[in-house]
Amino acid sequence: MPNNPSTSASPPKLPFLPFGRRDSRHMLIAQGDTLWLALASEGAPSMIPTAPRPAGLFELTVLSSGNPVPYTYTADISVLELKASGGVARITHDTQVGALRIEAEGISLRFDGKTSSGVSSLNTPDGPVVSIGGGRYLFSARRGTITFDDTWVLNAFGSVVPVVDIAPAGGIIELVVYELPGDTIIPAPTGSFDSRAAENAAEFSAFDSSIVSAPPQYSKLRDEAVYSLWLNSKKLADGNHCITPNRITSSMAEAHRQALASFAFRDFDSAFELLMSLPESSPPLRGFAVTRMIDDGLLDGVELDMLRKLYHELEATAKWWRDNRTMPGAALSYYAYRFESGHPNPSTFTVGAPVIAPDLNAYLVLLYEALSQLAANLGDNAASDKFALGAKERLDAMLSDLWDGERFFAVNVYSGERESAESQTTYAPLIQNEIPLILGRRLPGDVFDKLARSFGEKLNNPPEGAGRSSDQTLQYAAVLLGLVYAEPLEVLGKYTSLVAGAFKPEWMQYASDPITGAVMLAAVSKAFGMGTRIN
Amino acid sequence: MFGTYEKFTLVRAPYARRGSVIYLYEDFEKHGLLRLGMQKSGDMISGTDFLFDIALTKNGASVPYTYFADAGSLRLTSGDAYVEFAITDRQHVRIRGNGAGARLTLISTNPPIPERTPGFARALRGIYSMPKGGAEADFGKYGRVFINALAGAFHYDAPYNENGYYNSLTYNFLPDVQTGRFDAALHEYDDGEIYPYGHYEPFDQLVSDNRTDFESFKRGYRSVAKGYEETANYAMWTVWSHRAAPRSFIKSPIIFFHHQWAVVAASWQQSYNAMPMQNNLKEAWRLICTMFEYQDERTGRLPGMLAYTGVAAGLQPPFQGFALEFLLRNVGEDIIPQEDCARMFPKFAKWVNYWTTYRSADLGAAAPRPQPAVQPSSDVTEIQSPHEAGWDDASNFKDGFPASDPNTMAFLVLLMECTARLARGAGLRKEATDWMDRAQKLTKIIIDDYWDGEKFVTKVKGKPVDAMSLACYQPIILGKRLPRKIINKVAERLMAPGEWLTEIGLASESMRSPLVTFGISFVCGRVVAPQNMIISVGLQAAGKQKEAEEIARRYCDQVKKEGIILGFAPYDHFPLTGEPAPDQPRPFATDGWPWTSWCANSFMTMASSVLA
Repeated sequence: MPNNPSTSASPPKLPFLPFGRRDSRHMLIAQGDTLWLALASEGAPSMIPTAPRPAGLFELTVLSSGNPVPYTYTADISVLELKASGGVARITHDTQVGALRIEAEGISLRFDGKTSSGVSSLNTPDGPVVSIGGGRYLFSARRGTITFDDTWVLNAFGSVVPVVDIAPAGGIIELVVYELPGDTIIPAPTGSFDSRAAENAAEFSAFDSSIVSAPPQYSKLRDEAVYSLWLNSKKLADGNHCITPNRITSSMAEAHRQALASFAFRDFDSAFELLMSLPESSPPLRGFAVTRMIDDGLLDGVELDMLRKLYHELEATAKWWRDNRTMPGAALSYYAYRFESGHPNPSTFTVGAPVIAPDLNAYLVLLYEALSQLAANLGDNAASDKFALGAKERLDAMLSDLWDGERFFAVNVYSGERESAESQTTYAPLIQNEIPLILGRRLPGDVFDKLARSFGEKLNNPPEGAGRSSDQTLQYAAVLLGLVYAEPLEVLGKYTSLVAGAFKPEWMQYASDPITGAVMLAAVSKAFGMGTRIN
Repeated sequence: MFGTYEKFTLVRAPYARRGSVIYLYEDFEKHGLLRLGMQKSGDMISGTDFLFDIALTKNGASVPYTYFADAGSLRLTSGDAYVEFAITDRQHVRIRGNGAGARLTLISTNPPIPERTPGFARALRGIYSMPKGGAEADFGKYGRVFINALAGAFHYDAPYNENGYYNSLTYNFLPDVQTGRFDAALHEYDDGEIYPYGHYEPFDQLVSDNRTDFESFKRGYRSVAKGYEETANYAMWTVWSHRAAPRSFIKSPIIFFHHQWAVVAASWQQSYNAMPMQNNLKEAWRLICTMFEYQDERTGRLPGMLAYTGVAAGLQPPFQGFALEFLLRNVGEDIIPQEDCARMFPKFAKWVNYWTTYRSADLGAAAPRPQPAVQPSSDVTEIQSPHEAGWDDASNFKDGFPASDPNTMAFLVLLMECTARLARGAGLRKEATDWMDRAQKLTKIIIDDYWDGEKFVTKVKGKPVDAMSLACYQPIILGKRLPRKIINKVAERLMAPGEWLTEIGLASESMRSPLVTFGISFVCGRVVAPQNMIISVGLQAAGKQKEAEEIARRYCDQVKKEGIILGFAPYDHFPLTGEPAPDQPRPFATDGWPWTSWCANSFMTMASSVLA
């Protein structure tokens, strides 16, 4: 079956990303020549635990005279259009009623569940209800005729394979595919298909405008990053959103990645929502995110209550690291676990755990600096001075205890063993010890210079560094992000290899990863002076 | 109680304690190997990354051991040397040794992941020695473990590979060179503070306290019929050891179904657990009410199951009325304080109305579209899956759904009556009368429309389902509300040879039914604890004490012989065809394998209240 993904501006990037929408669990996933209907993973508990996966997969088939026929599809941001011999179908989201709206003309449609494992189906006066893989669908035909077998198979503890066939009435199908919890009054869809599609496009447009700009040569990066952020944005119980790494298979999200993603938003409310969406996790990146908000002027004019909330959250983070990850009387903090660094296997841990790591303390310098600035904005000069002093003392300690004149290194808390240069070479793809570059102008000139050259070399000669995986690309991009906020591009320009190596083509394959894409986008936006603040 | 030389081992029964998520068990394949696991994640034992093999060591080498466990502790023995585990209800386990050390090695029962080779320690995300001593490890969704060495030596070994994954994790506890002893605490907790930390009672005191706690718990039950005392001890221990403390999504103590397999607290099973607790009526009443803490305010629905990770989907039968009516009948009516009546009356009423609205046959209950403005003309309900009746593969549901099921409606009748009692207790006379009227009307419907002269029938689209399920007789729970001729017929049919009555109790499907199976099945042939309890209690309520006792005795004798297991195959062949039945299952989540609180509470009810 020929496959014809759209190439229009800001498209869903089928087949690499699903056709989906913020605030909707419905997605259409392309696999080979086939489209599949699915629901985003929710990870609800059950008596028999299952592996993470999209809920309720249905293969979408076009039928003509009862037989499957080939189809092609195109998609823009709000409508997926499917063409087959003799007819066409269009699909859009209807978040007002938690549904997918489908219109078709001249063809029949089939949704084939392909498996009966754990499926419970029921024909109801409103259409077939199918509980499958943690999702609950209701297929409701407003025009057209549904055929569905809900036979219960006694010893299978479930229904037969759910196959929903919809034949047109008068050549037309109007189908609403709800995703509703049980015991819910079925909301009647309002408005036309086109009005819903227009609404989706408008909402995406508004979302798009909340994201930083990019120069023309990076428009593809921006398109993919923005759509991925939109698609992977998950609504939490309190109404706020967070960004999941991949809504198809996982509902899990991490706070430190929200901090990174917040760089891509150019208004305080959006960035703040992400930053506060989840309890702080490790590494502590909120300070990093807030210092950029300060740099970009996002805090200007923000209500004191919001600033106070931000301040208290950051203060709690600082306290946690002081109480739980700092030896009594010490100026520097440590990671107890490797994963606390945000990477599964950092070179810093070659000296064993717990480890006083340069990257962690760089993050904490920024956290203290952010706290100092927020305290000043709130009129608490004593607290502001205290945190400013804390930032300075930590940076001084980093330079005296973790810098050997050429490089940063990690130290085991108990044994005092230093991370060797050899281990850093062995772990060359990783850049834990270049992360302090995010401190930019706060570092002495020679330290910055040596770090930047080292980073540039790794950037340009990575045996398997950035570009190898989304996570490693994210690490490099995050350092670059710190750099472009710390220094103007013309200053960075003297590190030619650094700038030349940035944003290589192989990085771009990860633009559709929501966090990596967001960080790369924020970095190019800042580097090329696109401005971020909405006035 | 349990041990190498005891009547029952820990191969099927997990060793645990009230208020702890830790359990220990003996491996089925490697006889003599004990393991330590944790049920907090909801993982089944066949697919978990958090299990530790337990070795008893001498001079660092693993040596064979035997073991014995009672409520106080589990002791592994090798000659004169021993290692002992005592579980607390304060999120830690104490481990001590004398003349021996212990080694705990992390394993996984999930399929290997190539890049993590060998992958046995895949749950481990990190481990480090803490500043104040001891070692804390992070196990991701399993939480954290802190080992605190109190005497002797402790060290861990956790090498990792170039991909950043741990190859293995071993905890080594070594005896002190001079005393030959070690003592340690294994704490488990979620993100946050270690709880509690800093105070440990003497080990022997903990063992004694555990035994005292169990003895105290047992006093909540009435004594059982002569000859079942030892089995009752096992049953009560099973309930006690499955009783979870409030934590995470769990708001108050609740009793889990399994530790190792179906790791959930099932909604209706809480009321099963209440039924035999007739010497602790406060606790029995609390158990009946406990799921109402999670009641949906909008609909009145109770959750199907609870886990530490959240509320699972599903709907379970409205069993609370049956349990409460049984308690009231056995111990008297004035057990519920007036303030409790006032507090619980609206909740019970809402729960009944959930069924009669969202499962109303009149309103087209199959559709999820309650119409609040429209009142149903009757309280006839239709269920949407067999799980809503409690019997997952009962043959009376072979024609599919929605099904109008007299069993569920019989539970509703008793729930309505109890709602009336609560109204009366709260001083609401008119409401009490109204609820009794509804109960009587629904009873009449069940008798008039669902009794075909031989059995109660489930209906699909108004048509009776031709079935030979034991469930066809379950409305006997209505007792003397039913006409004498129905009661007699039910008793006669159930006691007839060759159909449901077997040597070990009532089979869930007639032995003359072609649908009978003893394989991966629940109630399509096996002899199952809750059905035997419900039917025997129902017959007793209907005045058929002799028949009730006969059924209960047969089932309880089987439990006495085989252990606290939910379902048993009554034969090694299928009586209808003479063909051999498949082998009994190996370790698996089937009801024919693990010890479970659901069997324990059903046994206790039969042994203490049905048998003379």
